[in-house]
Amino acid sequence: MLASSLGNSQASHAGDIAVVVNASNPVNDLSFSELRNMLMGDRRFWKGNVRLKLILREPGTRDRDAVLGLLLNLDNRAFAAHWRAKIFRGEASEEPLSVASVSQVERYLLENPGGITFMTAKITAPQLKVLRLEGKLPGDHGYALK
Amino acid sequence: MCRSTVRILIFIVAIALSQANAVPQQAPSETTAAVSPEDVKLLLQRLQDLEAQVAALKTQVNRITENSGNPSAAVSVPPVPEPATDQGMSMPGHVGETVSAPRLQLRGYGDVGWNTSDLKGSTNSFALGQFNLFITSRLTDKVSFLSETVVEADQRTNDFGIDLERLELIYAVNDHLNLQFGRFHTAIGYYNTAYHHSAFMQTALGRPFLFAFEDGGGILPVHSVGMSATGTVSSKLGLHYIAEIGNGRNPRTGVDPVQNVSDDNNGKAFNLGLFVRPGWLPGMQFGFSNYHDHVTPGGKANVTENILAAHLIYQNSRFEFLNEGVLLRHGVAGSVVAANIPGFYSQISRRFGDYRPYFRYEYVNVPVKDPLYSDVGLLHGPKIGLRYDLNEFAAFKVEYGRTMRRGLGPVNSLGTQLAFEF
Repeated sequence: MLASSLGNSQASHAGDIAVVVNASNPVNDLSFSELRNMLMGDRRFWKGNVRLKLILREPGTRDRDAVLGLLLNLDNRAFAAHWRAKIFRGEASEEPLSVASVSQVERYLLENPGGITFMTAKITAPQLKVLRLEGKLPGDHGYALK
Repeated sequence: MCRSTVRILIFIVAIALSQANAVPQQAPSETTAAVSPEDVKLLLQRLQDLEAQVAALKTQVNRITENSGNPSAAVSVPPVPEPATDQGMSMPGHVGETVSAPRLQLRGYGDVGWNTSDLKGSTNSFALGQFNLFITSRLTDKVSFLSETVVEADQRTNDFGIDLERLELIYAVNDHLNLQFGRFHTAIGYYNTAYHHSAFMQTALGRPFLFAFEDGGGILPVHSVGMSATGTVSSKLGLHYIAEIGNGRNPRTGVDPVQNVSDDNNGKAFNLGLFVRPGWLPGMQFGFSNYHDHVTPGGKANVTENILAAHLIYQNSRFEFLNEGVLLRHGVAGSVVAANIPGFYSQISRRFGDYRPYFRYEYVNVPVKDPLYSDVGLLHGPKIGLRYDLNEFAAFKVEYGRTMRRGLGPVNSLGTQLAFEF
C-alpha cells in the first residue's frame, strides 16, 4: 500500500508530527479543517460510518501539546474543558483516549480501524499509515505540524 | 517485578515450611492422647505433599533468581499492560477500547451561594443551588446513555426535591443522523442546550430570564419528552439541523409543566432548526429555530404557541459573546386575540488569567393580554459580574443586577456563588 510505505519512511522526519491511522482506513488525505473538527469532536465518523476514535498521548508530551496548540490554539486545560462540555451537552459519549506510550498508541490504532493519532516517532507497525495533511506529508516543505 | 515475585514466593515457601514444621511440633502434645495408625498415615501423606510443594517452589525461585540477573533471557512472565488514562472518572476495569461492557462515567455539579436584594419582603440568604449528578454510559460504538438528576430546594418551602432533568438514549448513526429518545432540553436557541443545569459551566450566576426553567417561572418550554434528531447537513459549510417532537408543556399551575408520561392533548410539539458553525471562524455559531405546539390550559380555550428563536454566538477560551432573540406568539383558539412576547439577551465576557468579568443585558416583555404568562410582565436590565476560576473545577462568582419592571420599582440584587464540578 502506497500510504503505508510512505508512513514508514516519513513519520519521524525531522521531528514533524505525523497524522497516523490504521492502514485499513481508506482515507489518505485530510484538510486542516477536517482535522480540527475531529479534534474538537464535531466530526465523529469516517466515511462509511466507521466511528472515529481519537487517541492522544498524555498531556505534557509534544505529540499532544504541539498539535493542540498548532491546530486548535488551545492548551490542555482548555481542551479538557471543551470535551467535558461536549459530553455534558450530549454531543460526545466519551473523551479522547489518552495513552502513556508510543507502543500503546500503536496498539490502540491496530485494534481500532477508526482510530487516529499524532506521532513524532517512526511508526513500527506496517498495518499503520501516515495521512497527508493538505496534500503534504511530514518532511514536505510547508507541512503544517512541525 | 521479578524482585517482588521472588519475595512473594519466598514468603509462600516460608509459610509452607512453617506448616510442615508444625506437624512434629504439635505431635508431642498429642502423644498424651492415643494416635491411631490412620492418623499417622494421614500426617505422613500431608508431610509428603508439603515437601513436594516446597521442592516445586524452590525450583521456581531458583529459576526466577537466575533470570533476574539476565534480563535478556526469556521469562514467561505475562506482560503487564501500560495504563491508559481518561480524563473522566470511569469504573475500575473499564479502561481501553477492548472492553465491550457498558462504560459508566459519573460526574457532578453543584453550587452554593449568598444572595440579597432590595425587593420588598426579601431577606439576604445563604442558598444551596443545584446538586447535579450527571451520568453517561457508552453502550456500543453508536449507542450511549445520558442522564442529569438534580436535587434542589424549593425557594418557598426550603424542602428538597429530586428532578430527572434529562434522560436520553442516544443513537449516533453517523455524522448526519444522531437520534435522541427520552427527556431532553429543547433546542430553542443556544443557551438551553449549552449549559443545561450546571452553574459551573455558565459564566454568569444564573440563566437569562428568557431561558429560566419552567418551575422557576420561565416562559419557554425548555424541557421536552419525546425524540430528537440532529446532524450535519454540510460539513463544508458547517451547517447542522435539529428536528424534535415531544409532548409539549402543560401551562396549568400546580402540576409539573413538563409532561413526562402523559400529554394533555393528542397534538405534539415540534421544533425545527438550522445552525452554522463555520470552519473559517472556529467558535462562531449562528442559527434559528421554530417551535410549534397546541397548549391546553385548564378551563380555558386552547392556545397555539409558536416560538421563533435566533442566535449569534462567538466563543473561544478567552472571549465570549452570546446573543439570542426569541419571539413567542400565543394565539387563542376561536379568537383573533394573539399576543407577541419578545425577548432577548446579550452577554459579553473576556478572560484575563483566572478572572473573567462579564456583562449581560436582558429583556422580556409579556403583554397583559397574553393568555398564559401575563404575570411575568416586563423585565429588563443589566447584570455585571466577575467570575474567578479557583482551579479547573471550581469557580467563585459575584454579580450585581438591576431589574426594571412594568409598573413597579426597579430591583437591585447582589449575589455570590461558589460553583464546582466533581
